[in-house]
Amino acid sequence: MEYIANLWLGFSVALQPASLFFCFIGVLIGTLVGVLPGLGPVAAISLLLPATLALTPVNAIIMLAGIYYGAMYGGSTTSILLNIPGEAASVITCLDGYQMARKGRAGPALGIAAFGSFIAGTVAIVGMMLIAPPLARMALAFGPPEYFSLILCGLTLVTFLAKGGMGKALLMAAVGLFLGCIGMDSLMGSTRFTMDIAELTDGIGMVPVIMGLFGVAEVLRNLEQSMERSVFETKIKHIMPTLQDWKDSIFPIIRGSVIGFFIGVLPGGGGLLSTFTSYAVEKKVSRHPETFGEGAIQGVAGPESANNAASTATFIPLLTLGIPPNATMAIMFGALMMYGLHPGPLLLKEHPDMFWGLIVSMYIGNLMLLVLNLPLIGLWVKILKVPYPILFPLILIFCVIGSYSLNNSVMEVLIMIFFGFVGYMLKKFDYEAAPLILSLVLGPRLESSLRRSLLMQQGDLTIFLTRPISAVFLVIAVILIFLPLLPKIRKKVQTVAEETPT
Amino acid sequence: MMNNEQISSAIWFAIGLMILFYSLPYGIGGIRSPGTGFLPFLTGVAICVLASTVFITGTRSRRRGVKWINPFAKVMWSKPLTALAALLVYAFILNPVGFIPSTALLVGFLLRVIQPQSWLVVLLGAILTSLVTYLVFQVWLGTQLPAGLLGF
Repeated sequence: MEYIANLWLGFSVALQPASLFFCFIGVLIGTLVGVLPGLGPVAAISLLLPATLALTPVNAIIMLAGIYYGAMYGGSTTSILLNIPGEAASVITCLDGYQMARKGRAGPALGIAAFGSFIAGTVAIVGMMLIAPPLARMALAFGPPEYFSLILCGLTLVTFLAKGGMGKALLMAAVGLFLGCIGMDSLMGSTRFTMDIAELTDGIGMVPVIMGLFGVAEVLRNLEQSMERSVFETKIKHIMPTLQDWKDSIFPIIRGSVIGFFIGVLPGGGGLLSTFTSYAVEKKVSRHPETFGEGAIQGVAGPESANNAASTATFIPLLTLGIPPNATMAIMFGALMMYGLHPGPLLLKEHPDMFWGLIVSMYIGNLMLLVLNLPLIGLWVKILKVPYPILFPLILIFCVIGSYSLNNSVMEVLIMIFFGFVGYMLKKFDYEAAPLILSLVLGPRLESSLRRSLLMQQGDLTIFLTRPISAVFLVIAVILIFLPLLPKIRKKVQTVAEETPT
Repeated sequence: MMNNEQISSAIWFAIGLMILFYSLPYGIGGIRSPGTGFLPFLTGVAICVLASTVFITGTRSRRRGVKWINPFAKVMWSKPLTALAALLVYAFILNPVGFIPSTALLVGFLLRVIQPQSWLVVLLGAILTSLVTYLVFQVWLGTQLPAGLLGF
């Protein structure tokens, strides 16, 4: 009964004309971002963040969420037609999707990717509806020690499968923590490391850092390489999958949905890891594993479904625990804070309209995406043909506007340029930027939780171990840190990390 | 010569040391009542320790024969460098010159220099990008863009 009342509330919010409009704008921008290589959902959301301040928080978050899951849909188009993933989570779709396109089956590949994504998105929304409320109720019992251990555990999980090794990823997390310390000390009211720059008093802005590390750095990296790319010239026909295609794909879609959902809930999980897991599972259970990589439809259906289920599920830790599990959710966390909402267990209690409105809007957004992706595929292919040398100045200008409009300050633009250079160099030396962003966002909360815990117990560190939930999180974090020391596991982790693009 | 991991970790170690020392004047406090410099100090220590582990990993790989690889070899590094310099100049002229003229200059420069386009594309790209972004962000979304001397 409670779920029905919640759903009713959600529909009453999401079906408002303004909500529908911003949901549509969100998924449209998301598909565009997913289609265009070189501009991911992270940069797109941070770019639009300042512009959304004029909207109501519910409409703003509905639109930003639409960009995120819309990008997951759009990303498959470039993977299938160009062999270039529009965004990182679509990498695995290149393997069989592009092969299907080469064999004249681009239509069914695109079709099953869209239908699979729709089904998985729906499954994940139902899962989210069932899991989020009890999880939020449980998290209400969390005090500063539990939050400290949870954030620590989350950051360790994020670094576990990072490219370049766990040591480098933890190093990035530590750098992010330091950046999070810049500005006002929330407990004492004094400022730190601001170098007398007024803009740094409120802390280093998340948007310029993200725009720099993900937007500008990506452009710089693309510029140093040859900018030629060709769209696979084929007539896209028979977008509707045949009965045989459905028979081959339905179980991969179901398995992908379940895998994606559970991996998405984990910090550091998200789309990328879920697609790799789904692909591996499909290959393992297939009677013809030799067809994988040669254009097997299961290799598209499973990962694409997993990808979308995961992208929906990543909202669960953000909205119920206040812990963003990946870089995109870190921006959503910042967005909610900017709108005066505090992501965490109280969000569901204090703003049920936002929570349930968002869930239902995701369902509606999934329907819109189906309509956008299938009949408009020709339009997306045309957009793909815009040459990168013409596109990149536009991306840079967007980054500048996004950073500048935050405080109407050139200093924010300079910070963005600095982090653009830093991000470019980090890539050169194989360091991942995602752990840095996550700890930058979570740093202030980690610090206040740590200091409050220590003040509560007058410096007794055992508080983190004597409280059971905190102890469990800490034990998981310690296991994750020492697990790669076991040679067999280290080898496995390295293999997955090497195969995983950033 | 040290390899890439050793060099990058040595730089991080130096940064960690700097953070560690610069957090001291803020007051670290004690474990009973942590001060303003407490977490920055801890992150400085963490960066140093983690940089050391990366350095050790780098040393091990060097013994296995992993040498310094120039990350700028075989790429057109002058293009990102030019774009970065142009962006920096743009940031400095943005306020005095205004959004539309400075954006048109930047886009025109990037289109002409990075991967040279025809003058028609350069002109159209520069004018359209600056005008359309101005209309979308300033007029439609209400973002405050720098007005400059000419007022736009």
